[in-house]
Amino acid sequence: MRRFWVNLFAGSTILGVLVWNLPVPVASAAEGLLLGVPPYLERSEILQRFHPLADYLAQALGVPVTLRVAAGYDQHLDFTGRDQLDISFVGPAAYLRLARIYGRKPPLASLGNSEGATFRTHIVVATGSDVRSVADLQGRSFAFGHAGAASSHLVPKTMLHDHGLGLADLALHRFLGNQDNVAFGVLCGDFDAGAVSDEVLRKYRDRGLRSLAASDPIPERLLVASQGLPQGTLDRLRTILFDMAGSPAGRQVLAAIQPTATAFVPVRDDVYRRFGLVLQAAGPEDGQ
Amino acid sequence: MSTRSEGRWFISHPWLAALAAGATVLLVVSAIVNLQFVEQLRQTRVGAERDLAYLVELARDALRKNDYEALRLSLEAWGERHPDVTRLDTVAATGFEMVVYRRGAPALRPVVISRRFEYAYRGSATVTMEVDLAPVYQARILLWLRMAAAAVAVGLLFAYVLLLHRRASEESKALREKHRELQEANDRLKEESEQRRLAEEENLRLVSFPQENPNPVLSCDINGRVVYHNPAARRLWQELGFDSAEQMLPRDHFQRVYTQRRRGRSEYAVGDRLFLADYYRLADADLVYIYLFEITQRVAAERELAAEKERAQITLESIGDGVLTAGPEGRVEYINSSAELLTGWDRDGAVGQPLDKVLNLIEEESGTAIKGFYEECTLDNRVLVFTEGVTLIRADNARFAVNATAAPIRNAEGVVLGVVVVIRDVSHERELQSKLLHQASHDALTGLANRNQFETKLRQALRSAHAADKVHAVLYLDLDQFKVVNDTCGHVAGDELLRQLGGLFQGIVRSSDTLARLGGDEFGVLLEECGLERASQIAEQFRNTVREFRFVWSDRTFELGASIGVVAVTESSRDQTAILSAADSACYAAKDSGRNRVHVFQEDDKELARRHGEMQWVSRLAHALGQGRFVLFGQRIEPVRQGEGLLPRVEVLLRMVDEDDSLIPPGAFIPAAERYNLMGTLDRWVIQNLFVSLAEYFAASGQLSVESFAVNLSGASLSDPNLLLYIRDQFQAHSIPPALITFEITETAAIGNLTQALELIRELKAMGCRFALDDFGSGLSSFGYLKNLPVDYLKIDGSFVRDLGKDPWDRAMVEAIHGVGRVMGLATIAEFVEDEEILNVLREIGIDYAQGFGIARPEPLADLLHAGRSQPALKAAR
Repeated sequence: MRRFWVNLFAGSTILGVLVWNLPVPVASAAEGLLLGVPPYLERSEILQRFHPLADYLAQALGVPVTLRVAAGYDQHLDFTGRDQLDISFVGPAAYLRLARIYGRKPPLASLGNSEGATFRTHIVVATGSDVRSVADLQGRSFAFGHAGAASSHLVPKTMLHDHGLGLADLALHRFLGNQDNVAFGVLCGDFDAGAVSDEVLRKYRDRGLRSLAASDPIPERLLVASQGLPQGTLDRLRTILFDMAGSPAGRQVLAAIQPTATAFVPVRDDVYRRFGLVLQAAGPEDGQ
Repeated sequence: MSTRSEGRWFISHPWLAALAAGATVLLVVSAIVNLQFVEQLRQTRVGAERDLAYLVELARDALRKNDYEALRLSLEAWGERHPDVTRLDTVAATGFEMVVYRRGAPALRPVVISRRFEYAYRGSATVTMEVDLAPVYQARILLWLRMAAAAVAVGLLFAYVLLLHRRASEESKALREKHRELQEANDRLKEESEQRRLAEEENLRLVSFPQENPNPVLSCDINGRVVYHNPAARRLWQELGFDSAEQMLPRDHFQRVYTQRRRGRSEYAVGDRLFLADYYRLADADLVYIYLFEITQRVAAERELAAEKERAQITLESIGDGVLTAGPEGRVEYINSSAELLTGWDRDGAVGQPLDKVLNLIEEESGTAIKGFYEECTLDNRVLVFTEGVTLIRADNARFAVNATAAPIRNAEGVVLGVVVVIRDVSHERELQSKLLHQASHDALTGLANRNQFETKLRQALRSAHAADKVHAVLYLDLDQFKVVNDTCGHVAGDELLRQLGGLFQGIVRSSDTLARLGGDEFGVLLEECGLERASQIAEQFRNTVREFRFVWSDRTFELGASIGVVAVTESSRDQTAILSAADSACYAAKDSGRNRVHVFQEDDKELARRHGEMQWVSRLAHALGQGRFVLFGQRIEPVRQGEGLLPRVEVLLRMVDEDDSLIPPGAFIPAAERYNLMGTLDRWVIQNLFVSLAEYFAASGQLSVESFAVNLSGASLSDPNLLLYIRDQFQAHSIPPALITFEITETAAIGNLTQALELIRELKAMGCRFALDDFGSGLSSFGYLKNLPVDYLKIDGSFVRDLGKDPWDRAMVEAIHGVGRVMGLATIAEFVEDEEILNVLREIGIDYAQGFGIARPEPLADLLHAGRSQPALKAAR
């Protein structure tokens, strides 16, 4: 009898330790979901933009949705890749990179606007700048956002390349982390030019930012899910996102994320793959 | 009194006083509040400046990282934590507003401060901060109200205290009055007591004084009778051997007592002792006090002093040096006879005058008056000595060189009472000294500076070149042909020539330059602050002056030349020896270049390099002489015309055998040998070895068909007084007939040593030798000297012969020389005969002998003698 109790205690202990150490998702649907966003703008602005989405999803799913803004792009990519985030907002380059490194993450929806599911990035200068064309940037200083970001680095680099300029032709280039910093750097006169997306250009146009050249359309940023998320939850999420454009509350959420966004639309992998080929031509990410 | 009355006013009107006190406190409080307010404003301002400095650092740090987001967040967070900050902006240099922070309510009393800063090589921004001062103003109002309340309280309290004080002061007034009365009574008592004490002391003093006095004190009545004497008086009359006091008093004692009004004195003698009686009549009393003093020693001392003074006066009057004394105010008190003569002031006029007016001293060089020596002497309390370069100007403006000494006169306590000045006329000594100095630094013959003085000046110039980077120049001038004058006309003429030239040279140089005779016929000129180019021009002036100068002596006129070396004295010049050496070298280079020239010394001078090469030759020559590495060659000189029975002659030539057995022609080593005084040795070597060879030849065959052997004698040998003896010894030692030897001398060598050359020529000719004048026609005035030189042959200079067939001028010259030779009975020899054409012309002219490559080349003497032995006679000229 005594032996029985000893075995029961030992077995319980071992089982407890095993259960304790089992890998579990950061959050289950019951505990709530984690929505992660990279710091592509100022942190406060990201919180402002994505809180409505988190609240909307929480209300629609009936579980708490917690918003997380990573300290940096790499941390966000790492969290997303290791399924630490249930829902992750990623850019097109990050989406492709995630697939390459961690395997394909289930796409939920990409942002859509009046022109489809694309946006453009711009090489910008200050309004009073004497730079008139991209070619004039030879020997000038240039501010990029994040080295891994398509809109603030990879695509502008291909634009410079198309005008016969490599990074070595610039007097100086620097990665400022996010696009708000890029806009500030150019407007303050610290850099002769920089690269920002449509929406950042719109935000600072009145304060003296001018587009020197615009890129070809870039696939829009999108939401992907953790590989550990149940299929049912995935389906439910997609439905909620696709239906957002149909309700005033949903449109408000969309406008908050991006003023030009009109809907969440299904993700077309072929478009991102083609974009991946374009990025390959731009060469490796560098400058970190 | 006024304080007391104001006090009473305050006390009598306490409420008014309280009001005044309250108002005063209020004023003070207002001042304090305002000061406090100003201080708070200042602190707020300082705090805001400090905060702004911090924010600038914060902003700079963020902007350097281009982290604009961090900047905005930091500034906003900071603004939130500081409620007095109402606005916080950061604006880039481009005008872009990076951060705009506003607190909700606008500032009531805003103060804006801003600071611009740079954060990157191209980036600058301005941080602006607005601070609301309203809290400070509110605090001031609050503080003022508090203080006002406190002032009212103080006023009330003060009024209460005054009321209390008024009551107390009325009570104390009565007490004070009582106290004053007591005090006055007490003072009166004290005064009376003091007067009594003083009177008692005076009485005591008056009584004891004469008794204690060590001097005799007596008093007598109006009749002269002594009524009192002290113990000292008694001791004195007993010591003098008297019986009473009256006996030791003056003879006129009674008369004096009777007639004395107030005070009187009488000196009198008692035996050999002297006394002073001091009479003093007491006022309003018929009593006379007599104080006696013995003055024997004092009078003796005074007499001794007077005698001493008399002796000193007589001494001062009798000495040759001038002596003056001045009193405490610097005015003359005494002047002796010598000083009267020197200064031109008599005693009556001088006494009382300022010392430096009577004693008019000046510095000889500058002419500056020497003033203030009285003050210097008395204030510094020291002796002043003027021994160098001081001149005294007499009243009639005559001047004397003087030595002067001024010494303070002190009393026994060392206090300066005046000054004694001693002056000595040293005009004669100074003149003598000046002459000696001049003689030590000047050449006695020309009156120019001598070598010593020149070197001194050169040293000074060198120092200034080193210290002040100045450039000077030195000319080294050597007269050409001076020896001719000296030798032909004597040293007196030479000296006169140097004197005349010295006078001419002085007209060329500036007063600041130094012209010196360095010795013999050498002059040196130091041109101060003169560049090399200008120095060369001045050197040319010197040369032209000498060239144009004609020296006339005993109906003879001489033309001279000057060879001048010029060298710069710069900061790179090493020392005076090097400068003089360089100037000497340059002068020699000028001589070498043909005399009567100017040669400027250059560091990379080719001429001087050649001289350096010659110096190396000296060493080689010395070795060759030591090792006997010379050989004799001979070149035949053939008679031009055949059938006249003339025998050929041979000129003996010298070759040096180098260490590699190659033969070195004389042109390579003769210049060095001439320059470094080796020619005499070489000439002796030639004579000795020729004589040995001839002696051997005669010993072997005994026959020789040569008229003579010509030996060249250098200028150095001509001036060698021992050469004659040496040649005689050689003739005797080797038994050589003197007629077989002809000595060839050059015109230049002969003229340069004319006196000795003439003596040598005469002596050797007397022995049977003959002489040829070499290179005739190349000299300056060949024909002029020819009659002085008793030679047998004229060797016409090769330069006239070389182109004889082509140049009619050369032919004319040769004909003229031959003509002169013929008239003087001299045989002529043409050098440089190189072909048949020349020989034919020579034959036409009638020249006697020919020498040159066209006749015969030089060959070793041994070979030549051997050939002569094998032939009965040497081959005659064609």
